[in-house]
Amino acid sequence: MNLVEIQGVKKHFGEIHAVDGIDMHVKKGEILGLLGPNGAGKSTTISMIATLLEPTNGTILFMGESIQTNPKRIQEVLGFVPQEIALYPTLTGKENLQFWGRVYGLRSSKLKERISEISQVIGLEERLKDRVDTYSGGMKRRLNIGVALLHKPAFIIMDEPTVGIDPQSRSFILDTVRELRDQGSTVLYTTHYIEEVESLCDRIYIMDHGKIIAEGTKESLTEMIDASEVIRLSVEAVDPMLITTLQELKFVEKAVVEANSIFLTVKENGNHYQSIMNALKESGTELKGMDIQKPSLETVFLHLTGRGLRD
Amino acid sequence: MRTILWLKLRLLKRDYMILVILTAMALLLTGIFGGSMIGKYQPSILVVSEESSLESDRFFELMQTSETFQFEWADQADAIMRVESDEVMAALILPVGFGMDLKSGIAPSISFFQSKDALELMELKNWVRAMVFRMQSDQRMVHFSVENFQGDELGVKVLAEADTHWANKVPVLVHTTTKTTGFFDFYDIKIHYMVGFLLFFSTFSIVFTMADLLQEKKQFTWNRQMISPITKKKILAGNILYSWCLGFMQALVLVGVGGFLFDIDWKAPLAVLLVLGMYILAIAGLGMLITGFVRTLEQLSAITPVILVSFAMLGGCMWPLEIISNPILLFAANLTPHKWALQAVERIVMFDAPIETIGFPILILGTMSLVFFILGLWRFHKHAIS
Repeated sequence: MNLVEIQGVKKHFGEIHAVDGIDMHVKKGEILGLLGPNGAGKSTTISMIATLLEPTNGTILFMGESIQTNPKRIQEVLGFVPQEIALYPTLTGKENLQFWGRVYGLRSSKLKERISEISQVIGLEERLKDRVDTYSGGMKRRLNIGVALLHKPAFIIMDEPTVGIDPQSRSFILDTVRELRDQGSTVLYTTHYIEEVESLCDRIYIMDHGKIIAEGTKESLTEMIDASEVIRLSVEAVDPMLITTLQELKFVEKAVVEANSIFLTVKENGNHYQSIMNALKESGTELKGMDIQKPSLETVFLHLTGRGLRD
Repeated sequence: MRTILWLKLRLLKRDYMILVILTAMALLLTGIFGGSMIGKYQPSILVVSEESSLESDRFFELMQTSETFQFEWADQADAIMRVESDEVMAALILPVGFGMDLKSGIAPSISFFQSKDALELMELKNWVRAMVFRMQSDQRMVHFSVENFQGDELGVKVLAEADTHWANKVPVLVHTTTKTTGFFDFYDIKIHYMVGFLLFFSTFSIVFTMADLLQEKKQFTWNRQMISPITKKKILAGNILYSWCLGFMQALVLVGVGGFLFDIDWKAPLAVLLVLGMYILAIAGLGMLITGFVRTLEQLSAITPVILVSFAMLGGCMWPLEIISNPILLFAANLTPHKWALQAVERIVMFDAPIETIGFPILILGTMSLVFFILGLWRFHKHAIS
């Protein structure tokens, strides 16, 4: 049985269709990645799963039960890591953990025990007695995660937990997520960092403009585009005629422009460079750089939407 | 709910100085504003006599015994000029025949010359009536004594003797039963200002305590609470209870310390605290309603003083509603918790009214609390789902 089932869910804010009829599911014990650019509808989707927002249409089931009619069912076993630092800055790290532990019904010795365990997991044992407003950004992020893990949640939602932190803390957080999965938790992880999804997630949904545009494992997604490689051309300025010329080359599957770069999805290996150089010369475009990439989630997204994830 | 209270007390421990400052400010501002209206302020009143008589001189002497006003002689032209330029509050004009009227037992006609209405003028008119009444009584006594005992100097002696008795006690003991009375006969403006300003300044800390909900939204802990197993009702109830407790503690300080500092005899402190308890609940409800209508702390900071000052003005904290005659303003006053709290406290403190008489104001305050909370909850729910 799937842990979470989302069926035809929509969320409209007036005229804005933030989520526009999505179907997805979360399997027990997996790390599910929800990938998409800013404004794709990821945060709205997880806010609905977390019972923070009510869907305009559709159903969300947790363990086969609608969370719209019985939100407590998911709330008791959910660990939610919001994108923002949702802590009390004037309280100490320990007081924050104590409060959120109490919110989830932990008391006395059990609470103490969990605070001790979690402070080790997030590496903040030494700073627990300090006020949160004296912490660094990375430390606040880690405490933000620790708060969500206190009650040993079976299902954890992480909304872009690595935004704006140092590489060391980022690596620490990603390792923590893997450990959680290994301990049997299910994780729904949203991000717009391709490399995080590629290294972390068992399965991925790609969202854009409120819709799910692709779903699968990293391998199955990259197989979606019939290409052996992607050539990126960096140019001074993009000439529309050049794009037409490049698309007419028989080995080019698709040509996509992103800022001053042209991405060519190439069907088969071979020496295509002379043809490309000729096209550039004909249009009078100066080439500033060229690199060849294996198909990745970035190129999948580019291929599906015609734009980059960080647009 | 206990968890929310636990959190609130921890947060208060960190920021208790804000509450101390707000309470101290409420006391200080009550002292400043209330004191400026009742302290050593003695408006000047000019007395113009169109005749020169023993009676007009005596009237002036008696008027000067007032602790509220100071009197000085003036001629008519000077009095008109000084009243028109607002240098003095009013002038009293004793007409020709003032002395004769008093001697004859006829109520003398005294003219008031004023440039604008002021609350103090009611007190002045009462004072004039009292002094004229006293002079008439004295005159009757003199007349009776002279007629019955003869002798030229006897009248003066009797008058002097009567003055001695007036100075210490009323020379004639009169038992009276008052069925109806003029409002200002019993009205103590000092208590009104003190209670009014205490009610007014205490509202800020209560409303801003409710505004913690906006702070929670700003720091995203509100959303985290909303998806926790604690129900929204319990979270809001915890916040309301905390806000009420804090407001009530502040009221205890204001009643205790305020009574001592400003020399207010609360008469029945428990009844006063009961009224204040309901008033705080209504203000907490109002705070929740305001918080439900705004989205940011900045918006709240901008709108709260406007609402609270308007409510305090309409509710009679700044001046007695009894001097208001506009029916719209009087109707609007009924919609403020301030009016009902002030009315109930004044009934207890000024008029020694039995405790049962505060039942209706308390009922109204309770109803207002309920309405404010229901509307506030509705707004909060609307925000949450949008």
